[in-house]
Amino acid sequence: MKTLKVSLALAIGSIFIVQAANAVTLRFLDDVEFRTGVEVLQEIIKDFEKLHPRVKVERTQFEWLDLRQQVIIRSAGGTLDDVFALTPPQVTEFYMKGLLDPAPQYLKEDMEKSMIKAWDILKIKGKLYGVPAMGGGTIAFFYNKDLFAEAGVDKPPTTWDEVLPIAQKLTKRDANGNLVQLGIGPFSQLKDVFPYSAWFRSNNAWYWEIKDNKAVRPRCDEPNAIEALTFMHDLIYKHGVCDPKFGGGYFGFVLGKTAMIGIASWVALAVDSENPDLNFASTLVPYSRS
Amino acid sequence: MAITRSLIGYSFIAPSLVVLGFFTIYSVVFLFKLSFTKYSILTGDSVFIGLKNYYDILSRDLVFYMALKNTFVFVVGVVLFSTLLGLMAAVLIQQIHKRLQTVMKVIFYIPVVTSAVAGALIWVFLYLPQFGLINYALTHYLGVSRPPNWLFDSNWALPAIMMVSVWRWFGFNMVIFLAGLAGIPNICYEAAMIDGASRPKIFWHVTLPLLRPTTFFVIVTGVIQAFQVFDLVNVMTRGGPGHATEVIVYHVYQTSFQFLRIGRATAMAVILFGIILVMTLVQLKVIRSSLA
Repeated sequence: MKTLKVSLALAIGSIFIVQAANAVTLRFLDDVEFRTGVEVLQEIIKDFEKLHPRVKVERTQFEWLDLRQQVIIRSAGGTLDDVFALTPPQVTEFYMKGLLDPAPQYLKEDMEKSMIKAWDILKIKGKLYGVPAMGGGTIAFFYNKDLFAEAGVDKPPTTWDEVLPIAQKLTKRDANGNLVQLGIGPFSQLKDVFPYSAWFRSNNAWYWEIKDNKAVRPRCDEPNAIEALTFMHDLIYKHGVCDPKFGGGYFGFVLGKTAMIGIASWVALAVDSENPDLNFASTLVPYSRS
Repeated sequence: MAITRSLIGYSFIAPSLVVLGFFTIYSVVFLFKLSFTKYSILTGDSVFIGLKNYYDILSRDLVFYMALKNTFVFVVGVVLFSTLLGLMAAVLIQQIHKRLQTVMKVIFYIPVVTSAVAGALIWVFLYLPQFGLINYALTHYLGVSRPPNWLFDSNWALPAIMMVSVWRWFGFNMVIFLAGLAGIPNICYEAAMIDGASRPKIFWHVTLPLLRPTTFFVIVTGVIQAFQVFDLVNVMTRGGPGHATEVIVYHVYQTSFQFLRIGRATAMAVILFGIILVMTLVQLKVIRSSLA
């Protein structure tokens, strides 16, 4: 889940140390790939360079799936960038293997003053191992305004009961019964937990019972969870208004062929980047009947 | 003349010596050297850093300690059960008809010569929580309502791999024990029987003591081999779930070929070498004193 990225400013080679030297290059490794994200990052870099005229920022970008391997390879080759991105689970993984140094004390003190709770996720045994660089990850419900207007639907569904009739109106098939437009896209691919999260949480269902920060028992067999899964199952297999194979969910929406989709909120930037002409909006995930 | 004969002799063993020297002796010496360096596998650069690799492993590599604990649990469990089962199988086989003996020996020895990867993959399927035969048997024949999730459960994954390892190696131990049993002179049993000893007493007071050198061999080779477990872990769990089945050799592999920390990985290998050496010396001392 691409919820939170961190840029790690390690003991040596952090931006703060680099500032002291004359005309230096600060190497920056990240995985921001969609247009608007890149634009924001470029703005930040420009502002940073204006503030620190002797520092030139050299940015390298990789696919987020390749980033971990790149960090490992560059680190082993002695060419690791001064600041680099990792996901919080990767920070824990690297820490457990004793491959990370904690950030300098002054950085930790700055973080503590900032009162941002997100720092805590990167603190291990009281020491800071990175700084959060990008937030997001809540699931939003996106809909295609043009397809809604075309089908005569004036507003997106707000409850589970409204989802099916609206999705049926927005699903279109050709003469042979093949789908040409999908009412509702799946929540990402079915093989990961993402697709289920929105329906689970909107029905007050949980994946795990947590005790002392440990998942002690799966709760997927509880009534609320079963109801959420059944609702999702019926949309796909009973009513035929949702199809995981149709454009992979996300791409169907980007191409204007899927009318509604529930997906991570940060995807809005990616959708906008990949299809600037798409007339879409977002709202809350429809809540359940219970 | 004698020198010529020696030279001819040496020339016969020279090819093996060269291969052994290069692939074993040189490699081991090079490994020791590497453990004191920061070596980049990408550039070939090597910087001497003294004991830093050892210090880093012992002071901050938390996974190493987990791997160490798992390895010890694995070694104790596997060596204990594969030795006991091997002994039990050997004693039982010795009692049955000669022709059946051969069949049973083959059946018990098949896992030893089966490819570890192939065997492990079959066990992965057997252990599947929903569709595996083991859980099917547990629920349908033994009435277990919540059978373990085996390889997906951090409490059960290591025991599950240990069972596979026992399955793989007890046949080897059985063959060694059979050889040991064959070496016990009949006269000892006859003397015990004349004295009126029962079968269990004969086993405890004649067979077991006379099998001590064999048992020592089985335990020492078992410990050395169990410490080096890698294939089963790599195929069945890749060290997971979490680090529940991470063992030292797998951690060495991860550190060297996944995280490309060659120096640190070789230092771990040296530590493992030290542990095995100490364990073997201790066993040697114990068995020598008990044989004396």
